[in-house]
Amino acid sequence: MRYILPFILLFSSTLLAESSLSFSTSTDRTSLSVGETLIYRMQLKGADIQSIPSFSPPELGTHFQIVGSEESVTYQLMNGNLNAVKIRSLRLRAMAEGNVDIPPAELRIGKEVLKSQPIRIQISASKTSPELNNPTATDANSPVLLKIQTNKKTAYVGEQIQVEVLLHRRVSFFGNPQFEPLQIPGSLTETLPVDDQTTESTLNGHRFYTNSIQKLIVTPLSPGILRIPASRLGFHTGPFDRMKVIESPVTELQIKALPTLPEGLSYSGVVGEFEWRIRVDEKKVQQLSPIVVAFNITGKGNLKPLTDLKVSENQDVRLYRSKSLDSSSKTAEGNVQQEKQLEYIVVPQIAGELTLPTFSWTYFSPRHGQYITLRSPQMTLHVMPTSANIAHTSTAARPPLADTDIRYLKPLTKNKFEGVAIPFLWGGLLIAFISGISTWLWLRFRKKDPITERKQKAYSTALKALKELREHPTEKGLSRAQTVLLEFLGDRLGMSFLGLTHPEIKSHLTKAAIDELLIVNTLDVLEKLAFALYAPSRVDSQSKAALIGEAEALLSQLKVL
Amino acid sequence: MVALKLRPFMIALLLLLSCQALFATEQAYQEGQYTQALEGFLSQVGAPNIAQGPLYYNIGNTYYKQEIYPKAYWAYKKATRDLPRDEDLYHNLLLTEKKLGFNATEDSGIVLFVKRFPFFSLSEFTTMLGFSIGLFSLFLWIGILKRVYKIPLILTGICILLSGFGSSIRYYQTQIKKTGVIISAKAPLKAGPVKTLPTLTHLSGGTEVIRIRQQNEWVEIRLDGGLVGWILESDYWAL
Repeated sequence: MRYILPFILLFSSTLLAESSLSFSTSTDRTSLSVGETLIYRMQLKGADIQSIPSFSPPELGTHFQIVGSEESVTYQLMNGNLNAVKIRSLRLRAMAEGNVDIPPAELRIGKEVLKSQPIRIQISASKTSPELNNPTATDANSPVLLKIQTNKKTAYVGEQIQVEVLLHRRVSFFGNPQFEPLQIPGSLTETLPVDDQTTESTLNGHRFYTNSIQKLIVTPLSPGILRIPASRLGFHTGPFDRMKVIESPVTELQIKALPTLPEGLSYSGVVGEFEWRIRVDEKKVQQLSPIVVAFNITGKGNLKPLTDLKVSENQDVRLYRSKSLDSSSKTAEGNVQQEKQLEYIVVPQIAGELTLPTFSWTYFSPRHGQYITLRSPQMTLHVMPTSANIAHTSTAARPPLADTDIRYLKPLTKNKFEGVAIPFLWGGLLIAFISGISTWLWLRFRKKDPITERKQKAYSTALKALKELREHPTEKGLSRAQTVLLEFLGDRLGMSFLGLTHPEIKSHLTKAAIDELLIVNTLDVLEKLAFALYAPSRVDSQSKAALIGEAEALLSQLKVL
Repeated sequence: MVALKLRPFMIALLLLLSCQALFATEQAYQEGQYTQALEGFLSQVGAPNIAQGPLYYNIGNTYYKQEIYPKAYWAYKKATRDLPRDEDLYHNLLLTEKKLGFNATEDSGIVLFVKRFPFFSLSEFTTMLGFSIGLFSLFLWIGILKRVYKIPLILTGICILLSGFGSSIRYYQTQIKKTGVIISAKAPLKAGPVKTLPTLTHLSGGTEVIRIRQQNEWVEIRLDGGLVGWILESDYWAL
């Protein structure tokens, strides 16, 4: 069981990873006006999303029109498990007012159906001023003209057309003019930033100041005639004038159908003129370690339909799409250039020579009038074995410690010794400081009781004195020894014994609860000293020293007092 | 208040970034991109969480790999201040000296001991000083209480003498004797701080000199033999 359990856990985690898919939808706003746009986002979270087909939006009815679409996948490698988030964002334009429920989106994965929640959106009437609905008749001699300019008159379905609304004027406006932006049904439109600069132009023999007030990239969705409706502008020329409204003439473009797709071609849905660059991050390719293969596609045309490249089968690698990024920029000639960055993570499964899979995609070129397929060249990489296999070679790869070559780099992290050096210094200084302060405090404020001090010092003082007297015995020394003994007793018992008679001394010592034998000894030594003192001729120096020695011995007995 | 709360995270982030930078630098060195590696190492000079001795050692290695031997010699010499007894460092220094054409031999025995032991690194010095002060204070305190002075004072004295000896040598080497290294392959030694004055001799790269003073872009130096002259500041790096 002990051996089977890890396998069960391993499999259960894999199963969990597979079943832990979550699908949700959201919008960036829940109320808007007719003509405005919102972003409807469908998000799928979980493991191994790459195998799930691209999800499609729910039925949106007549209230919304899809004007843009974007898809992205993000991968995260955590604890060896690959998790991904796949998001498809749709830009929806509100076409009619009312309270609308965007129905739940559905995603079928095998037998399982993932369903999101419905979203209620409130669409209010257009914010356009009603005055703009009554245009004033304009002629070629009018001081203010509104014109629509396109970069081509005929185009293929899916080909991008640049549409610009130009305002020509010979008079100054009073206040800000009101402009109803252009809306082109039956096409995908993308608004571009307009130039603020004013230019001069001549129309019908009159000089005008010209401003670009709206710039669009229009992608027709079906063949036939694409009608660009009139756009309107309301303005005042004086404080008491009523609003004048002018409108642009209706423009019609001819949209051609794409030619029949040759068999076997996988068309991306992109129309335009493009080129691409491939970058392989191959600094250090190691088995089972991911490398990035990035594609940068640039050119004129709507690249958004291109969500993925066609990849040839290759069992030697595992492939994940990691990034898809769309951007547009303006060229020096004033044209809009589209750019798409696609990144793939390639994980080599083998070591040695590895041929990367071939990436390709097909677009329609209006200039050549045919489908063109761009295909990546054969790319071969040298893959090193995985780190586990080259553990021994990594040390071998390091510069050898031979005497002819310099030794290798040193780690730059501070070693333990250096780390403790400064704390030791501060620790030492702290101890010094505390010691110094406490010593000073102790010396300054300790209790100086003379009786206690004398009592503590009594033994050492007496012993020192008797030692000196023993080494140099004199008659005076005997008297001094007697005095030393009596002073010692006085210091220890806290009274004066000098001048007392022997019975009085005995009485005091008895009161102090001293052992009787010790009292007898004390009196005996004192007696002998007194005798020697009063009969000096009968005591030689040796006897004097012996007497003082006896006094010393007595002192050591009295130390316990 | 928020800044204070975020401070640990900021420090952690900085450390993380610093670690990443170091990793990238070491990788650049491994891949032979020495210019990039050198930039990375030089950017860490003076960084508080980086051991400066090993850093100068690594800078020396990078210069060596770039075959700029005078600068490698300077960096290794600089590293000896913090790694006074590092075997790898002296090995690399010896190789650099050979590349510079010095008559260099490997030290051994008592010469090795005398050359390397008395020189204390800053960390060693601060540790010993801290120990000495701490021990001295403790012993003094014990001495006052127990009336025993001799042995602790002798021990403390030995500690202080050792740290004082090492630190005074270090102080002399770094502060009083202001040494430097000629980093150009061939630097003209001028009689005065003017280009047009006669050239006394040419100093080869890696020559150690003692700095006397500076005047504009000229540095007055003294050689081991006592010869005094002026070199351009750009030919000289202080140790």
